[in-house]
Amino acid sequence: MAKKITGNIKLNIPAGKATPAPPIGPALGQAGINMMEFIKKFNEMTMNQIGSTLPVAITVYEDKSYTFVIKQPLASDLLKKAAGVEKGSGSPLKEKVAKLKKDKLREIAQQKMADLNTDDVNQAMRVLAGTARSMGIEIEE
Amino acid sequence: MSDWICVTARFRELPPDWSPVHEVFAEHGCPATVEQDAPPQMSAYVYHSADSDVLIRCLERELRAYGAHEVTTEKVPEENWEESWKQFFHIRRVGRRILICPTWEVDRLTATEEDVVILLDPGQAFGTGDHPTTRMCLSLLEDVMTPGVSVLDIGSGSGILSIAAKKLGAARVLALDTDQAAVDASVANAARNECEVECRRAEDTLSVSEPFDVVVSNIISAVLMRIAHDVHSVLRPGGLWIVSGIIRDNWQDVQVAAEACGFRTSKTVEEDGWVSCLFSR
Repeated sequence: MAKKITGNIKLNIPAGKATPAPPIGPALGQAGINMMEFIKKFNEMTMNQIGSTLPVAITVYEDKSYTFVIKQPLASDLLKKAAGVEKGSGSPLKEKVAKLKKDKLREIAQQKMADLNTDDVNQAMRVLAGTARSMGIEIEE
Repeated sequence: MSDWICVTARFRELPPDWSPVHEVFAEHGCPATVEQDAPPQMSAYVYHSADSDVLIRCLERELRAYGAHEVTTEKVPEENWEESWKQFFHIRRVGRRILICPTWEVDRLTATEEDVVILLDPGQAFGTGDHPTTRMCLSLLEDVMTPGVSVLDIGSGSGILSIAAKKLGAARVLALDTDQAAVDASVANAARNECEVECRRAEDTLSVSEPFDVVVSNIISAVLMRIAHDVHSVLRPGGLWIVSGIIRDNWQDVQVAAEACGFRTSKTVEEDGWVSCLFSR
């Protein structure tokens, strides 16, 4: 069947913890997607990643069937883990919470590259350095 | 009184990475977010409570600090979101005798003895009977089925065509799909209908040895052309191949490919720019 795409939904959901509550409920319900099934599948597939927040891209077709892709954890998640902090800084300009080696940033950039719509690791590193800065994580050479 | 408040942060330009904005929401008690690229925006929901006004003011201030040019709120009443997708899928009559009934509408079903009722929970798989390609396929199947024939369903999706074949008198039905979710849906729907349908996950090439009287495939033109030769060899002489899922522009190519493999075109039907056809071997 050549299926016509009628919608794309992008969600960021904590691994293993999808529920029918908002935002998942309204987003999927409006699109006519069988939500409980999505939730069950998502939680099953991401159980071993609990603690991370995962971006999910759902493609909805005209007959209300759908496919979804689970991406690498959010960049902010990967950065926090690598820097060993639980949360970013509330005032990133004044208060730095951690330092992260550039090599580590490159590693994360490689892991996250496809999700950032680039095949240039330096470009991915620039984006991630921006994210790190906004969280009060300093990048050191 | 509303139960939820949807907070949306709008941006003039698409942020290179949404995760810092997500972090702002997450740190204010919204662990899940929805993002949109055009126009760029991210939303999350706050449960309405005595503290929610303070929380939203704080959230708005931080979202603006992260570059949002506008932050809006909208009240959203609590509802039964688990069930809302079902409003798109109702009992539907297809062809002369087939009635497709979603499992949650069984109570509303009024069928005569003549009717062939198919209970369906489509889950994630294709085939609700709502799409012209499925409808045309079901009608053609209804036209050609005689009791005792064997049927091969290539690209079974929800299993709707296999179940219809069995209920219309097939002695044996084999349902193949390359997608495990579809195979699971076919198995569940066949059980629901108390139909004996053998469901298997298939690879790209057709690995079926025994001959069939009828093959039905509601897939896409490219795959139909690729499998035409294999289908011809699994069909008994005089056997029939029902094809669907063809956009009008591609129909000529499919027909040429099938006829080159030895098929004759017996009947074509068209609806909404989709073509279905009955080929005979």
